Amino acid sequence: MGELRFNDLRGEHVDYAIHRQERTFLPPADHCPLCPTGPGGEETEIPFASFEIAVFDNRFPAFEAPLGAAEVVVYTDRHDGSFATLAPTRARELMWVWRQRYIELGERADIDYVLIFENRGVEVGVTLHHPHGQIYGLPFLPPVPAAEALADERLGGCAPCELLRRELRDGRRVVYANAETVVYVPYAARWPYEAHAVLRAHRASLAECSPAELAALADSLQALTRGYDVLFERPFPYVMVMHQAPTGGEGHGAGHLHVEFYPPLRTADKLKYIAGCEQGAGTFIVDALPEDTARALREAIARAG
Amino acid sequence: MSDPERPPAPPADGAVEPGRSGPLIFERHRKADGRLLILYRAAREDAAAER
Repeated sequence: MGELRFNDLRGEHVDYAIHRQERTFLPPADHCPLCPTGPGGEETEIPFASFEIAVFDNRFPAFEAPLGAAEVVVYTDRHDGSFATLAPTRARELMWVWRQRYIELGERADIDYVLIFENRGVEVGVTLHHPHGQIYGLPFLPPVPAAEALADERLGGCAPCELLRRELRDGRRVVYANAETVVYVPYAARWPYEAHAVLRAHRASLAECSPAELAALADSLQALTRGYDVLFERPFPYVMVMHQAPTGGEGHGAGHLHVEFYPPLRTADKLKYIAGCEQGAGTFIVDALPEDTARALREAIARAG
Repeated sequence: MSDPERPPAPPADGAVEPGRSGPLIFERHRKADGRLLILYRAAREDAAAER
């Protein structure tokens, strides 16, 4: 069991999960805990010979009942590949898995915020390469969605709705769009290739989306991640985070579903670091203009098909 | 948090609980160490063929 402390100087929680120090770290493919359990083989986290999508309680949870949850979402029983290379049908099904987990975890009295995310690549700390993501059920409203609620106040309404209108009016940073969603590099992106996939209609969460919107979101996320991999002709590391309405406490129910990507690469072989000004002042310094990175990303998405 | 005294109700030991989410059918299992495992699969009978 971890320990949650409140950092009064920063006004934010810090979670101490010291048992995570022992978690599985980059095992060889034949010892992957997210693969199905082979006949006569060592039992993995999924004791079945095959599966489509699996969700399980993290063996090394950062949060756990009665104060939160930590789950692993395994996208496929195939060890190789990524979210980008999933069959489109599987990517659409994953939206329904995320939706079901958001609803169920959100109904728990001890969870105020459901955080669905994926870390891809060793550059962002991945310890298992098998295609998977994670879900944390946080027993408090964390700083990022709290800041988004303040943005709503500052802009006099739903901030993602207003920012989407601005991006569509400008157009230079839009990298992909379909009937229900738009993907753009934000005007003030903090990472060179940061991108946001945003529902055109105001939807607080996956729970409010129609089947067509969920399918369109899957399409956008795959178009973007495939484009990322084509951009530098290498597997493109990223942190992907789904932003949705808090499910309890302050700000309950208010939000606009969108997915943000924070990729650490600034060139094919150079990383953007969170260094002095970013950590000490909270101000990001970026080496490329969003209009230029959006153009490159838009072309890469087109090339990826 | 709203009520930390009310933890979630886990499925009964050994039980497999079925559920449905859009085009998916899911089953909840309880792992040997007590952790939850949910397996999702496409409800369509031709799902395997499509893959």
